[in-house]
Amino acid sequence: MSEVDLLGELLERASARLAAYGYLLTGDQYAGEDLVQDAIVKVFVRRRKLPNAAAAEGYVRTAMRTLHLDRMRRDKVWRRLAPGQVARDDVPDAAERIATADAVGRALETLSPRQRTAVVLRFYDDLTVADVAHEMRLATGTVKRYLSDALDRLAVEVDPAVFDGERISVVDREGRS
Amino acid sequence: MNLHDLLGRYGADAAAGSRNRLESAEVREVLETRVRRGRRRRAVVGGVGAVAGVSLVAVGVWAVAPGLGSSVDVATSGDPAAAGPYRYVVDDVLDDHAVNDVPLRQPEVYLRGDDEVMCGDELSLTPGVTIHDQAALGRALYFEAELVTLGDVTRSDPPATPKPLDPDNPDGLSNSWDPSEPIWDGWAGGVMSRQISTALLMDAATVVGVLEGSMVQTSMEQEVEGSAGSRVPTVGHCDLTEISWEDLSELERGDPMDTLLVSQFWGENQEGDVVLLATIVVDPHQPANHSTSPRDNQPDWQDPIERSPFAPEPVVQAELLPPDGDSYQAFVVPGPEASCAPFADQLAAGQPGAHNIQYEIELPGMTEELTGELWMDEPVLSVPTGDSPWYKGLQAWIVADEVGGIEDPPLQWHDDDLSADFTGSYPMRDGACAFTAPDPLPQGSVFLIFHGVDMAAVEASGLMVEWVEPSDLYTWIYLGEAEQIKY
Repeated sequence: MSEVDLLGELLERASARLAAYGYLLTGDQYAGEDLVQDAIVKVFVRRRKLPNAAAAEGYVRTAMRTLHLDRMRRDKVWRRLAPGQVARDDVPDAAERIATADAVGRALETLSPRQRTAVVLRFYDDLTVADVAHEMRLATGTVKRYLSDALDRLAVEVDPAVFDGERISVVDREGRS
Repeated sequence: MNLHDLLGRYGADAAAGSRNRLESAEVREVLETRVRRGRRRRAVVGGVGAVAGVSLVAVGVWAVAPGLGSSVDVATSGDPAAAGPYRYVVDDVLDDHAVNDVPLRQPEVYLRGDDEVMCGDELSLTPGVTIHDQAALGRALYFEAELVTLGDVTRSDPPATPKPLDPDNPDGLSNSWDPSEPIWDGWAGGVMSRQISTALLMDAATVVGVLEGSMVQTSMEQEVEGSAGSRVPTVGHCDLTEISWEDLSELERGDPMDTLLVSQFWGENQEGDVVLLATIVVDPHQPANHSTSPRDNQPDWQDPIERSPFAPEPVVQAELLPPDGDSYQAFVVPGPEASCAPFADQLAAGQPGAHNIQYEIELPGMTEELTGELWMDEPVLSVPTGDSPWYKGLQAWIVADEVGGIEDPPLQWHDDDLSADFTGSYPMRDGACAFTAPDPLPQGSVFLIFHGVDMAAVEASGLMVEWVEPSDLYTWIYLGEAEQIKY
């Protein structure tokens, strides 16, 4: 199969899944699409021997995760100024933008980018806590804290029974005097 | 249904529209083009593949953290290149045009997207502001830039000996840096959803180096401002191309006067689509048009203060009690004198003293893992702030009997996490003090310090400190002995 055909088959077969993954990571449809495209370019530029579209999809997903984490690390601490200082009349209402019909969506919107990323890596990518910590270059305790806080917020919107048994002990008190 | 399935279903539903776009013939054609161009670009620089992320080294706020510098030596001769400062405001076009008559132009360069700039592109860029969509107006978009040196923005002395940040990788990133290295200092602001700054190294009209200096993307449009500069690309360094550090060190550093600093802003148009709003091109050959530097915008910038010639008076140290569950020993300590390591000096002199006000403080749920990595993204520790306790948001530090490098690293808040503030600058610390990145694994007694006190606890102790301004009081919280704190 030529690379051109492989790319076409990848898009046909995996666009929906990759777009969904991109959206989960970034929280934004367009940013998610950008992430998919950038990852595809990154994978195919390197002339890897990709036996089939399924293998290519795996590489692209990994590249998406890497690119997303790299960009998250690069983002500066930008100061958010007070809203309402803009003269434009058509600034969309923040509440309308955040509200979604889906409880999971509402819950995810309340998470910080790091919490969201940790949740996606842990519960969608099914990485272990240690692997999530490695990918995000954080301590495992920090990841546990992110996940615990995120699940608390998710529980406000989503039936906690969905993730009963997925709670993680945040603090290990062994060895303390 | 478990959380994995829920996330999958939610993502699929939310991104349903994306599928059609990604599967379109147009996108496929664009991707094929980008792949072909990307391979040609790799051929230009030899096609080596290794670690990406050289463009991670950004300037502005990050520039005061010299530990992320490359190991490329800069040959310095004569005066360093300088240009600016410059300030460009998108709405200034309204001085010459009515809103409906503002000239709109197609972008001459794209910093993102299908036609993203790359080495080999032939460009003719117009200095100043170019507006691409009328939605750019009324957003208070602006960009400031100045060609300076790394030393200008860090205001600290370099360490005497380069030291690898990762002891297991002695040839990797080091904390060495060259204060004479030219950089573009930048600052941008306004209502936007994305802003990117990229330095282009030009050989006449041909792009021979691309370095994305900074990028910020918000989940929804909002008014933001922040650092937006870039380092100077090397010849043959093209962004998104993977180059090993070894290869980078062999590339010729570009002449900063041959660079153009390009800033682009994205936001929503009337139809709700995210579009490229405006481009601002800074040409160092243009005369300066502003009187203040971008770094003057930084809210935490402090003027150097006079250092005290006196070391802290030695005191008898209080008996330190190990933490008990969520309870920690807290002390009220007067503020330090200015020095290069003011809190470390106090600790060495015996603080917290036996005669200081002390009380028990509850930090329920604080992550009991003091991480060994005191820089980058790694939070030093997590302190619960759900009920907005008195210490939330207060300036904070970590000090221990032994912390290599900067001995009392300041911390900054990210949600509930306190991470190392890599600027190393704060009041009481003279800007001329030498700076090195803090060593991992502090040793000995470890204290978390907040600039402020729990006045209720202080008053309850019955021992008000009347001769010191409350604003000059600090709370030292004993976290325990470093070796007993989990990593």
